[in-house]
Amino acid sequence: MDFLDLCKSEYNDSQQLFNEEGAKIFFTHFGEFDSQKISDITTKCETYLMESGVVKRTIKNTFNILIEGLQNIINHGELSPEKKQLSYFNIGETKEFYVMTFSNLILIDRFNQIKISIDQLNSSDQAGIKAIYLDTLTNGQISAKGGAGLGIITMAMKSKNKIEYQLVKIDNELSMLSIEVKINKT
Amino acid sequence: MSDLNISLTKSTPKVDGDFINGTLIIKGNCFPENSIVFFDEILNWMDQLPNTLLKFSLDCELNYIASSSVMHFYKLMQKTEEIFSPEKIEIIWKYEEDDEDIQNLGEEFQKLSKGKVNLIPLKSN
Repeated sequence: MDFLDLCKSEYNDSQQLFNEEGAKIFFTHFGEFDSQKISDITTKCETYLMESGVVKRTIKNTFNILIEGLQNIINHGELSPEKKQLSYFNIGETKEFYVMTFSNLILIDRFNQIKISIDQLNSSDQAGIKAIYLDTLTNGQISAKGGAGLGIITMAMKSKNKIEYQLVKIDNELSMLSIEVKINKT
Repeated sequence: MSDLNISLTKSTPKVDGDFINGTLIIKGNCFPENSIVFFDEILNWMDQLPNTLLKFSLDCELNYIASSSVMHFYKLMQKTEEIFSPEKIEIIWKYEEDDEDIQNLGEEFQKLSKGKVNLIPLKSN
């Protein structure tokens, strides 16, 4: 398989979660993505959840996670050999959760730092995550792309569930990093 | 020096800076495409504020805010404290009464700011 097919295969696999009974995808995307689409997709998702009768607290948490996940794709996604910012995301639900998956290309040697950050969040309780958030807010630096290192922490705070992640090698330099963020329905 | 006026968009707030009265009002969503570019315009405007103003008021009413913008708001408060002494600063932080996220953020800023931060709950839509 070529580069694009490998990425597409990962995207197809990511949707298996939504094949189970009672599960459904609200919005999905594969391919190039740009920041101008963020406000469109977040607004559409907010409207969809409101019309579905989802409680406001859950809608706000979903919207916040979406903003962080989609901005992460834009800010941190590497370009493919064809100079395209290949990525995917799924927004949907299972019986128990609202689920969002975000995936973008990363350089393989960046993964270890990301893994350490997510593992630290996953092993912390909400008070611990809040402490990490405040420490990053007061001591962190804003990157050239406008990121502040708060995105993944914010997702962990809003989700109140562990963040699942997966790295799949695409070629010798690039891998697809996928993260899955869940919000309890009740 | 002139006033600052930035129009509201789906992802960026309306910003009105009045340099004679020393007020900066920020209202709306805040998840700009590039937070550095967006906030630089505000910070550059603040750089020109005369520290002889008797007071400076930062009035924020936010709906959704991206994490990168949270840090810029923190920098904005630090900038305010660089220019004015704490007794001259008033930060008004408005939030919908059932919006814990924005309320909690205001409470954190209350702890971190040397100036006065008034938290004002608003009736939810």
